[in-house]
Amino acid sequence: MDVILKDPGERDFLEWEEALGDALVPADAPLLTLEDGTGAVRAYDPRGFEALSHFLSKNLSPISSSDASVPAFRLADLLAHAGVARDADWMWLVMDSGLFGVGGPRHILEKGVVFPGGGGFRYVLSDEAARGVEDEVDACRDLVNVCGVRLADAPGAAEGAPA
Amino acid sequence: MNVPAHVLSGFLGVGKTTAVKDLLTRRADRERIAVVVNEFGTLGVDGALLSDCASCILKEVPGGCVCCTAMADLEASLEEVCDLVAPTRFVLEPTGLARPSELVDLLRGPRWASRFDVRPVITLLDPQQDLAKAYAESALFRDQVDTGDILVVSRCDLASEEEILRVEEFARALVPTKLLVVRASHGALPDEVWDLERPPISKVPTLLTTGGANGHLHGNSLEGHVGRGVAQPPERIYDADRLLALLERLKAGALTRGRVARAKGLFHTTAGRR
Repeated sequence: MDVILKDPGERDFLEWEEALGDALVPADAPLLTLEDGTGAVRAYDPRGFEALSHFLSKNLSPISSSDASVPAFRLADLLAHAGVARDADWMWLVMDSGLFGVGGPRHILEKGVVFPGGGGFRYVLSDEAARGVEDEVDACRDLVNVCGVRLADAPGAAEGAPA
Repeated sequence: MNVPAHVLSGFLGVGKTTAVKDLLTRRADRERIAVVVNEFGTLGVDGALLSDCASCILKEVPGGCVCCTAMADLEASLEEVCDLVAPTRFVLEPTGLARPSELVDLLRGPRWASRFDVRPVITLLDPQQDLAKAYAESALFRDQVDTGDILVVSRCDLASEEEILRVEEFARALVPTKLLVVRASHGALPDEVWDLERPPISKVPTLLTTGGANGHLHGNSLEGHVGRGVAQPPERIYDADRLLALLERLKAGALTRGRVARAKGLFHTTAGRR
């Protein structure tokens, strides 16, 4: 990046570069990547995720109220805020750096809640949200090390499935 | 036949790169356009912004101003462009801190006059800037305005009608009269800007000019502007929201004592390449 200043102070560039460093995502930070399956991508590290509190209301229903400081958001709200939205009826939840993934109907899974936890991100689908479709979403009720959410076409269409 | 050559002048951030990008988008299918982009900073950000155009020929001259410190690099780039790619049109986009009169002199001088047909100099003006004040106070800006044969009121999409009219009034009051004063939005310069030929009549010096072109000592005329570049390799990922907030603070003057004349860059962010 090039910055041109008129009549800069002695420390201007130094301070600018330090400030820029503060906007960096730490190299070892876990990331939660949201993809619409057609190219639109948005990612959050825990710090960026926490900053979403300014825009999204917290939903702590599936989490112990003892840790109210943890920001937790409904996945549907998160996707909408990130601008990752398209007409897709399936959703993959990707874990462990992309090694594993489970999927389910989008309209159910997006009722789940995401929050930082255990060195990564955790996804929880409440009993209430899963009511009546327990078998369909059994594998998606409580996931740790979640690193990605991807919208996709319905099962049977291979495209969109995690590698 | 000499290659039509355009010098696209204008202050930092006035929309020169956007105008070049628009030209390439509209004409790359029927013309072989070579662009030499000069940046005052050490990084070729403008070049990166233009690199999406597969059919144009792009040369970057970063790290100085082509009308002084980077003149040798400019000439080397001109040589390369002429000898290797034989363009049908050539555009020189100097840094916003360059004096176009120096570049016109170069292109019309003995070394290049037989190869380039120097077209009317295009100078872009920002309607949201106080141009009369800038013209009175900045020799550099005066050179850009006075050397410009065509004045383009740029970024009209971002300005009010009142601001645009004020610039047009300023431009039409200049002596000698400009060949053309036109408006442009989103970087789309009217075709006549690129197609107009230079009339054979020599220009009369403007009444408002305080110094001749030969009086230029550019080493002292950057008017307090200092640039610094920081490379952003792909492994550096920025949080898109934090970065945007930081840039807003930079723009508002909350981070530096010096006034930001320009900040431009490409980052890998959590929202993709920005």
